[in-house]
Amino acid sequence: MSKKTREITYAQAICEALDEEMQRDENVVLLGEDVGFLGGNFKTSVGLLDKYGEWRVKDTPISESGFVGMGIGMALTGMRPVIELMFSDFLLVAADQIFNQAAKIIYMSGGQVKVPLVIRTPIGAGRSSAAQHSQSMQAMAAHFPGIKVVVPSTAVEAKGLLKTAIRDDNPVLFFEHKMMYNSKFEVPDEVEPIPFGKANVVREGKDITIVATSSMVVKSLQAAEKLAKDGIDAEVIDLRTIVPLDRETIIESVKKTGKLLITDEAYERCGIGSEIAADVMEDVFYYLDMPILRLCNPNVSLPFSPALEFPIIPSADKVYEKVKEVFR
Amino acid sequence: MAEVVIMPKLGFNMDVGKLVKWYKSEGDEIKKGEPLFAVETDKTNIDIEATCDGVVKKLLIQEGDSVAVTTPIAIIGEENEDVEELIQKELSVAAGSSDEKPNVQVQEKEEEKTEIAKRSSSTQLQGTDRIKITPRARRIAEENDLDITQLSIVGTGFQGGICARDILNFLEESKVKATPLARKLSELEKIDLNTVQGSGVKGKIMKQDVENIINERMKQEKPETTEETTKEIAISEDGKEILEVVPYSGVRKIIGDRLSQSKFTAPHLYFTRSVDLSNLLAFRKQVNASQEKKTSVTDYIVLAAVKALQKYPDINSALIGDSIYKYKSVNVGVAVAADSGLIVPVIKNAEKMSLIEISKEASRLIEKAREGKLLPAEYTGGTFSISNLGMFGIENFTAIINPPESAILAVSATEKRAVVVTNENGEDEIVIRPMMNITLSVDHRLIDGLLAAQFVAEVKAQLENPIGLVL
Repeated sequence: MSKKTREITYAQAICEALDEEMQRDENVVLLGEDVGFLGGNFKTSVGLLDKYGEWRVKDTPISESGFVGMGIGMALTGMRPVIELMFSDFLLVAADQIFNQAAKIIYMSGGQVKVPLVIRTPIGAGRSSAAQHSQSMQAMAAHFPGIKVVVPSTAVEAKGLLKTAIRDDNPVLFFEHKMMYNSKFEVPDEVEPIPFGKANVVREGKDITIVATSSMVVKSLQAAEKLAKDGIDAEVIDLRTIVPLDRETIIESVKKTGKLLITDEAYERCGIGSEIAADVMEDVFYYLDMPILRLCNPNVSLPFSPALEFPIIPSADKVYEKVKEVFR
Repeated sequence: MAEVVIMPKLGFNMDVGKLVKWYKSEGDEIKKGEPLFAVETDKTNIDIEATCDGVVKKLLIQEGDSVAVTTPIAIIGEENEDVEELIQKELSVAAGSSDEKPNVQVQEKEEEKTEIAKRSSSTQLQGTDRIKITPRARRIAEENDLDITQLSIVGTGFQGGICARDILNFLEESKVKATPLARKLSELEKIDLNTVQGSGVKGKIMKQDVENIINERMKQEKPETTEETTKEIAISEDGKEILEVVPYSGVRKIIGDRLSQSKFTAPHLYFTRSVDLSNLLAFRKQVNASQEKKTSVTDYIVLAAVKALQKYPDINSALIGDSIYKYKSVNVGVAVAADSGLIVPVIKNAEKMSLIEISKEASRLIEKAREGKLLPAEYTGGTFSISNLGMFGIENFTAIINPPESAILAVSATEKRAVVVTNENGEDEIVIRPMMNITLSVDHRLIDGLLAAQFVAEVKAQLENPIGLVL
């Protein structure tokens, strides 16, 4: 494997993963609004229409329920469709297809048929996209059995995890963070698929464990550097996938640090933080030196005005403050 | 630099000092050598002088208060010095000392002081006796055999609770306190400071303590090389040939001091009865044949004493300060001869135990005692003691009460004796019976002869009709 790296954006990394998988397997097709002619709303499929033609890269009408349903049908017949939903908020438009159909077919058919379908969709606030285009739907998606939920943090992670998602035989919801698309990262020339259910300890520390998803990983690392200056040595874990969940890595870390903060951009109520806190509690109770903390989106719809929007979004400063509060 | 004044220890057995008078008020100037306060001891009141010049910044206790020795009681500093932080720190130490020794915390202000201090502690959960402590801290405390409820650890964690760091700091601080000189000396001589009993303030190890150990060690190590010299000096001034001279110190001295304290303060009174063990020995044989745990005669004597103590709870009492404590718990100490000296492990709450449970607990404790592994909690807190020298063939002896208990039962050997009994036909006849003498020593300050006699009779009755012990 080449050790050479180059600087590309998160969006380019996704585009490369799609390209490499389409080249590897002719059953991989791309469907979605503006994925072809425009190269994707967030430029994640630039050049693919020219390279693979309109049979494999298909612009669809504005009908999420329709083209997600079409994708499920393709998957059932042996293809490997990757569907782009322009905003994760629109999952709700196609909710019946995703949660009642795709997620359940393998169970209801007694395992006779499978749905190797990937739905890529952006999450996150910060672009004044207002209440219906800024939500983070990973917590809601993780509630349903039968769906794998992926929350890549950086370009390398996005590329490696998307490859795994496309090769997976079950429906995968792949949540890209819209504020990360233009962020640049050093990426190796070759990126191998990253297995699901194996969290990544991106910073080792002994004083507190910060479990983060998606863009919160980079923000938590920034907070950790600031905390280090105050003598607090934080361990940061990139969860990578919410379903399946790597409980062991979290438990092992909390046993060491005695403290756990979970940060995720979905709503706090019934959110990722709540779920992980309850899930690991039995294993870490006698190691906890502090109640488990959450830093998520407050339980309020996202406003249009940046002046109101930014105070709500979990940030590096908020992670820092939250940790400092309990170390006072 | 402010100086903390502590309650001085004015005698070996002084655990608590009662402050009878402050000669200075807060804000008064004081010169080195001027009397600062008066302390009541068992004999007289003693004036204590200031050891430095300055201003009395704070009096931490009031006239009439009794506190454990070495508890901080006042702070002397310079006129403009800010000692607020120091006061808070020492107050917490003072509160801690009263928590540690509830038994000796005395009378007057007891209710309002200890209770309020406990409730208002930041680590107490409001309205309950539960301590605010994180699961992690509790686990670490348990791993280190710390009893949180007995320690006054101030929490610095979430919402003022005790967190892991507080326990670790406590362990670090309580490691061993020693002067730098003592530490250096012990390093040079390779002495484990954990084994040294400190004689300084709050048990701090002083140079002298380490030197004592070195001296003892030298005496033990050099019997051969110093043979000639010892031969020369092994004659006492009045012409006696000396085998060995060892210091009266350590465990020997503690045993000695406690026993003389007991014998000199508690007027002992003795009551002896002989007990016919025929039934008990037969019964024991059946018990040992019917289950795995082999019971000893001592186990039955413990159980008989427990039954008798429950019938006569006045025996199960202690004189502490100006109060007689009568206990519901029956915690029976069983004297054991260990290599290091006499030690009395305590079977706690024996009133709730069956014969086999008592037997198992006694075996466990005695074994630990012989190995020198008893924890302090396992040899303190007794309410009554038993000393059995039967296995050594002793026919009769009296025991010294283990203070602050009020009675002890001395058990002698079982031997076959010719005794006169009345047979079924109402005729007297001489028969051979296994007989055992038991002698009760009581503290006559608390227990009168009639009660003692009734108690001994009850023990005798229980042992002669052992079936009652297990019903």
